[in-house]
Amino acid sequence: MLEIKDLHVDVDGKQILNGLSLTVPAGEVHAIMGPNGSGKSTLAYTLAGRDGYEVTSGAATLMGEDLLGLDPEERAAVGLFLAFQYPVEIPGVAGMTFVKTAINAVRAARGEKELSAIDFLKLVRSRLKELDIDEAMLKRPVNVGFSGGEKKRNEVLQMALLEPKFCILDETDSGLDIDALKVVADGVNALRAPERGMLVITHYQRLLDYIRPDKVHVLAKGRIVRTGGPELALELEEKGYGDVLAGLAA
Amino acid sequence: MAARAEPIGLKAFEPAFRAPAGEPAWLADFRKAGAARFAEAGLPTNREEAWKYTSLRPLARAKYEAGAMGAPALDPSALPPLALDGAARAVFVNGRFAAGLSDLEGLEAAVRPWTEAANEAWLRDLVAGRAPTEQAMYALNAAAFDDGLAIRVPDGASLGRPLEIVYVAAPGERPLMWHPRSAIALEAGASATILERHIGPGEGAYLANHGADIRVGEGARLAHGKLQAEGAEGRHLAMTRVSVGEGGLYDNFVLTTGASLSRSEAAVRLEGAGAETRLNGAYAIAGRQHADHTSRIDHLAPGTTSRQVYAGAIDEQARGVFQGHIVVDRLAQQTDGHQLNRALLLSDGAEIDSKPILEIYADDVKCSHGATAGDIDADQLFYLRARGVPAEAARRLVVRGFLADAADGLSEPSLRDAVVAAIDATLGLETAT
Repeated sequence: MLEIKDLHVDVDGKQILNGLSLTVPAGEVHAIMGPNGSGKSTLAYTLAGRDGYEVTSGAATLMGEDLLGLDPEERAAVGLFLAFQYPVEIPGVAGMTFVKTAINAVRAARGEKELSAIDFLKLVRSRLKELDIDEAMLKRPVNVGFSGGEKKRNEVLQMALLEPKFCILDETDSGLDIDALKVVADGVNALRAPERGMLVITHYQRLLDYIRPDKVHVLAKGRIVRTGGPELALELEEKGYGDVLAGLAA
Repeated sequence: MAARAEPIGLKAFEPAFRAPAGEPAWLADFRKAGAARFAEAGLPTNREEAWKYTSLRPLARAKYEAGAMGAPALDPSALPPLALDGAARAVFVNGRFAAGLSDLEGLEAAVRPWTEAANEAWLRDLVAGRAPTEQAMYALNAAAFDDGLAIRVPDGASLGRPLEIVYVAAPGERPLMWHPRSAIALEAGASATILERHIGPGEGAYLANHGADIRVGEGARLAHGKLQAEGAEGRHLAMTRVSVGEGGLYDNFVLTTGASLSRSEAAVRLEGAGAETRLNGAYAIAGRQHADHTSRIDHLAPGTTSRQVYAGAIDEQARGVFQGHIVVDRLAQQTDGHQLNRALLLSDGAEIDSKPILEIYADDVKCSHGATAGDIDADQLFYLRARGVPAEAARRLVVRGFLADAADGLSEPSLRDAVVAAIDATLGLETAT
């Protein structure tokens, strides 16, 4: 499903990703863990197509489609979704307008008809219900004045509405207390499906108690240095990243 | 030393001065004072501090003619649909009231032709009972006006229906000008919602020079919106003088999208304790448009409040001007005055000139001002694009949000919705329901 080969990425002229390779098959959830500065967010932003992340070599494809040559909106149309670490506030744009514009843009890019107002509202209401989110949240401007938990739930709501093929969750646990974390994780788990892949980026093992990964990768100095099962996350929690990094230096 | 040159534009505008027979003496005096002031000052140019960024010198060469008395015929289908549900509508064509296009049912007692009300004490007090203003275009309006509305809502009453005042420009072959004048008095505890709409065609030069006097009495509330969408070759000037009594609210929003040159100026005096004003606005301009929003707020009593937020999206070679002057009198303790001017510069040629002035003579006050100018927010743009919204649509949505955010402060929800719908229409967006 998602295949990354020997990816090298510069930010501000500095190399951050240094030959990263990774494959996530459909139906699997992979976690990427790593110390601060290892390149976790750079990987997320590079895959989503943010300006300023310069791919110097390597490849990334989703279902065989070359992601790196596409604009961010084209990647979304292919089915990629990035849940932001810091969801952006957009004053003056109601959440409802935002999700409607996004859904219809993605549909248009796929050659599908726009949703009618009624079908759109039906879809939104059913997702809100599943995620136990009050409709009032969509009447407010996007993320403006939202608590950390509300922002992350809003990300999961958008994810549920856009029904992407592949989800990247960038530090979705940051800024959340344990209750909010559970709610967000439940939302993510509800979206696990045999045809959908997920990449969960996190610094802490805590999130992985709630979103159980099929595989755990350790990212350090811009590439994957270890891969294991869920037990690897527990090991890192216990021993820290010191051992992994020491092994790297040796 | 050379003799002082003749005031700019006097020759061009003197023929428009009027002195109709049968007007009450106070009005004749008011016109004379206006004529004298304009004859002395002429058209403002950027030699004057108050007009530093907006010169009216080009008006002297434009050869505007006063149009015929009476509104020219206009097909009612040329009128836009109502922006406010259930609103009454007063229509002016080329500055003249068009009774046949208007619907003032139920408001006949409150809304009347200005000249018809001229014999009444309240109008005289409102217009002539205050210190004269030096503003030259207001003076020209006083000397030249021949039509407009006088609106009075008695003690404790509501206007009954929201009112839209639609000024339609239907310019001809030669450049035309008109000088409509309005008066609005809300007596103690009264309330009204009034939306001015200014529309004009894509072609044809004209000058609309508005003058207005407004009084918001004790505990009264006026929600006053303005959608300025004049024609591409139109020039729009408006000077509004407002006084607010104890506990009253003057809530104003101006949306500027039209006219090649415009200036919307307000002078608000907060005269009673606890009086409040909100002067907010948004503008979206491009090409070579020039849009000036100028205000002066005098805090004259304790516990008065003013809020100003202006947001502008300036594209191509357009130029925005914001001048905000707040004066806090020695007696106006516990004043709360805030002012913010934010501009999005959407191209290299776009320009914003911002001039805030705070003059504070009281010691226990909270006052602030701020100005920002910059590019469209790259994070917001990326967030939208990452959700699948194409770059151009994302850009429009971010601009929309930037402008609509300024309308958040409007106290009257129907007016806020009308403003937001007008912003969406300008940007070619659908308004979410």
